[in-house]
Amino acid sequence: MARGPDLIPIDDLVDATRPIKALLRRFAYLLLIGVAVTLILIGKIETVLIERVRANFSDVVAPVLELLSEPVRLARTGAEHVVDLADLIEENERLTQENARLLQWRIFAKKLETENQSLKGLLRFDPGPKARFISARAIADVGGAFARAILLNVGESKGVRVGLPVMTGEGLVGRVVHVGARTSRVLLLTDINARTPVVIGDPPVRAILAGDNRDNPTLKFIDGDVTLEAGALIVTSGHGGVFPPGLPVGVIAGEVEGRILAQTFVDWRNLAYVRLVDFGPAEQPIDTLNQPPARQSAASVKP
Amino acid sequence: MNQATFETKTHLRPCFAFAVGVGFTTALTLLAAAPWPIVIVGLAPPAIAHAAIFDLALRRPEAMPIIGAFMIGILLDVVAGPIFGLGAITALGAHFAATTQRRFLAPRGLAHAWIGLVATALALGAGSWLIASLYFIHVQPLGPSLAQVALTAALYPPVAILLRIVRSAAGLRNRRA
Repeated sequence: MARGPDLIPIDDLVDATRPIKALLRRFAYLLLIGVAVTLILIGKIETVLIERVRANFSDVVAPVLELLSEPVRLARTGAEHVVDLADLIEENERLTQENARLLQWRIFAKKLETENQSLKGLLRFDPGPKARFISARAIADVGGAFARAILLNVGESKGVRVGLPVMTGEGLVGRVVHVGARTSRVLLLTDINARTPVVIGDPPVRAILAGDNRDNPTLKFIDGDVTLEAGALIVTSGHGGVFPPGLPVGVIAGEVEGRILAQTFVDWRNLAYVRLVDFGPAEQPIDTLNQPPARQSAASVKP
Repeated sequence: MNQATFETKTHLRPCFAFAVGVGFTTALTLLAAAPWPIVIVGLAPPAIAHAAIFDLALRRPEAMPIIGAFMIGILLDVVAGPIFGLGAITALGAHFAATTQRRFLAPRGLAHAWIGLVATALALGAGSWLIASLYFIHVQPLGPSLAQVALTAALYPPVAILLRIVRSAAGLRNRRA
């Protein structure tokens, strides 16, 4: 009977590795913190590489995240149903009044639509290609304490590409910053790195909506020394080619400690479902360098 | 034969504890990344992973060795970290706090561990805030960090109880310091 190779007793192996283990244990914290600091530096320098790693990993864990987000979605829907049931009578009364008001608006809208069609016919107006929508579900909050971002369950396989605006029925949410095969990462308007060119009110005043990880982003670089009204509408300007013009963002909330704050239309608590809007190939970006620079203004808000 | 089997089992026991501890903490970390309504109110999500690392490193160190804490930290960074590497540092911080305080906290009950966790979460919150402010070259709002500490502190008792149930089900008893 053939004899197998001599086996080293497991205790000998354990004894042999003991000094290495002791050394590693002594310097383990220092070693691993060194690795983590190196990762921070790599992340700062090689953003594209890190984001590619993240996108690939997100694709891998997406099914798990989707599965785990399902009970959260059900709990949220259940809670909403309970609240809806409690407010049923009040809601019915409000909707009846709103319906009556909307019926009046419908007549007016029909009249405007007819007028619009006839004017378009006269001008031979070409409305351009229609926008394409991709509906998606938020499967993870990927922000934390120092960022505002969400992970969606759609990616390149559904036609998602970097830069697409993300919206809810109320208004603009943010834009796609990274795309994996089955997931995409959305930078919210409120993130510290988000800068959105916008126009405020009528006549339009150009500004930049800057996120700072708070719920209400700040309006910066307001064009001219103007007095803005609280409640004035904010829409995207289309400058810089980041977003198409005219997407609703929010209204001016007021001025706090010298900062002009915006109240976004989006309810950040209800970001379960969003839609990505594809307006077709991006147009030639507007040459912002040749435009008169927006002055750091002393704009104020009229309450 | 029986002796060998017994020895093998003894040597594999830390591996089993590692699989249970790190595996369950991974599941908790991914669950915490789900879009809970509280997350998008402007509050930051609770640092469930830190609470789990702290509790396991305190009660059953084999279930959460330092490399396990580092792996969970990297997972945090890949899934939800605004700064790649920050999650790993905070996870190591939670592990270090539990390891250094184990002699005092491990023989005591949940209330003492909870106080230890609150102090650790505060220190980690302050450290993260400082690193993030330096990284973005912009002073970060303190609100989300404080909210994260408060939520982590509030959720620690249920997490600790859940981990105790898991340890008990897996046959991993608490280790006295």
